[in-house]
Amino acid sequence: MSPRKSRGYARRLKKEKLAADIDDAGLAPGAEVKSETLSLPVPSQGEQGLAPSVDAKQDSASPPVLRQEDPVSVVAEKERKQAEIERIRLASELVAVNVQLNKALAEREKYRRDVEKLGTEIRQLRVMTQQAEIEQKARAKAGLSVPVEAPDFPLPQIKLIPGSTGGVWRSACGSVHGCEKTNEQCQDRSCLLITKGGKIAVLVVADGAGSAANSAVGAEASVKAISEFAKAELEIFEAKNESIDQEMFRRLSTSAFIAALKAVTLRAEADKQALQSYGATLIMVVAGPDFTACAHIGDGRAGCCLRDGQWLPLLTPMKGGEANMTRFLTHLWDYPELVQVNFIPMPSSAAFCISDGCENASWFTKTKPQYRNNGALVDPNMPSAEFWGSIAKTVAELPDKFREQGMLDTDIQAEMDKLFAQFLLGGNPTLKSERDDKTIALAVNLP
Amino acid sequence: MSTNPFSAESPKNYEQKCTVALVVDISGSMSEHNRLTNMVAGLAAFIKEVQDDENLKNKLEIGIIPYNHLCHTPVGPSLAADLQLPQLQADGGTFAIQAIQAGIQMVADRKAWYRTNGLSYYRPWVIHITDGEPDPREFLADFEMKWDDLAQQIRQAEQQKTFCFLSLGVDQFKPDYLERIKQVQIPVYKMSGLKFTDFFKWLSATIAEVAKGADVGKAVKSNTDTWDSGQSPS
Repeated sequence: MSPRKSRGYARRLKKEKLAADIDDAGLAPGAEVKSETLSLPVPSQGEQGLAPSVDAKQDSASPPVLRQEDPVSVVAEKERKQAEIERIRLASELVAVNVQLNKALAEREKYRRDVEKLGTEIRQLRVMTQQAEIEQKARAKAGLSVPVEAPDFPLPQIKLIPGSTGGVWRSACGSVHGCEKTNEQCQDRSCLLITKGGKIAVLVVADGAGSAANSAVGAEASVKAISEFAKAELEIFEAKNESIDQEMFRRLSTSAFIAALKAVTLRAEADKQALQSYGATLIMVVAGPDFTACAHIGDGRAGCCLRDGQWLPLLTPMKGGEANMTRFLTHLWDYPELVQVNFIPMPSSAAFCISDGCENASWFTKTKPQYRNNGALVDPNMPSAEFWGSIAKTVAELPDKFREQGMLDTDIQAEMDKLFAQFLLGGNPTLKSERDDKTIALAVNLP
Repeated sequence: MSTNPFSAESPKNYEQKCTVALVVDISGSMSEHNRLTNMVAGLAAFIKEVQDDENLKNKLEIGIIPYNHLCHTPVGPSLAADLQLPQLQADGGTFAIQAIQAGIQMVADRKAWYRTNGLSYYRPWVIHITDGEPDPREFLADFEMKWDDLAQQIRQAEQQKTFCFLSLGVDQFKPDYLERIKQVQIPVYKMSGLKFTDFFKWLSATIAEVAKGADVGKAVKSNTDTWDSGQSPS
């Protein structure tokens, strides 16, 4: 090592030693520190890189004077240097350890956050488990996990109506009281009209709210108003030979329902009674030469049989939390969009609508789900092809049988409706035991 | 034509259900004057009648919660055909609060089960039958507060249409406490004699009427003359 380099090295060593001394003494910056003058040992044969110390103040003209160090201080100096080297090494190790420590702290923080997140998820799962346990206990208390007597989901209903009507609409319509009630207490009303040209059938059913005092009057007024309005409008289309599309039907049915609502409102005002006491559900089915359509508020059911024998529903009933909760025509003032419309651009062989008193007898309303054996029960909302096919066949064939027996055409419809009402009262065990009022309007048109 | 040409078979559907929880007092005083015997006979007749009713046998689910000063295991709710009438023995005090709350919980649990299984249901009923007054030893110093809480719970249920609550007093019952826990539309009734059979007959018809949508207040006040003493406090 050159003299210059050795001096630089010596100064560095001195600084580091000074810093180490400060650390060791725990002294604050600015405090007085005694520092030792670094003296370099006399280079021996085995040492490398160390040049003899040179006195800086020595005159450059005179040759350097080598100071002789005593062996003891040389050893001490060597030990001190080794200690400093060791200290530097330890300091660098400390830095590395600090880096690792910071990394570990960061990982620990991340771990802490993950644990917190998992804790939140575990708490949520516990709440869900508790809720599931409560429901499970309820099921256990009930003694059943799944109702065992529930029927299977019905197969697709394809069944042609046998017979012929020669393309003429034939119909049966009736409203009867529930069992253990009298006719005066029946709150259902219905109406079935055929347009002048004989091409379009209009079927209307209204079911008065059980808890409303004037609901029978409300049902009567709404059925009369809507059927007259719809018949008049449809006869205009029929006379012009115009076809009706979905948008036209929507506009027509909205106007018809508003006409019914106005009629009920006027009646309430005339009677000086609250409008809500006239609450009734309302269904209107219109079956034409190239379409089948339905508009409704509330519950009840409607359906049709297309020419290919498919039996389809025409509405989804509005049901509340409890089985007998629904909406009524009188709600239309507050909820103008309440009327639901369904339009099928195809003619049907039969079209029908019913009040909810007949739904258990003629519709699939509560069965097991279609694809799962142990799931919650569902409402397939499917008309029973067996039930409807049977009575539609009778409606199609009966007028001809009556004519063969000599009955006059003017008496045939009245006789059919009378027999139909008797059927509704007790035609099978389900109809016979039904306590709610029962209404069916059915129109059949076979080529 | 002699026979009706219209005929058709109906499809099979799972019936809509209605739960009735009967909270019956079997304290020591019920052993007097054959009260308990008559009540048990009335219950048995009720269950039989529901079983024979084509409309109700698959709809009405009955639960029975007998109570005195001890906690008794509730029976049901289940259809009449599956219900086993428990052996009842009159003894002890009248700890009514927890028993009525057990009845309320029974109908709430059943409604939760209906909803889980996708079943339609009618508003359930809790019927409380007692011949005395509630025993304050049930909650000691807190009894009045607990009774008021129960009253509030029952009135809230009326506003929210959660369940119908009816109290029936027998013989020398004390009406004051029952008046505090009644719903506005349903009065507290006093039975004429021990006409339990007539009462239960009326109950099944009334529940069926309300299930069809009849007004609760009107339905519970009609046709009660066969069993109501006419001296109801309300």
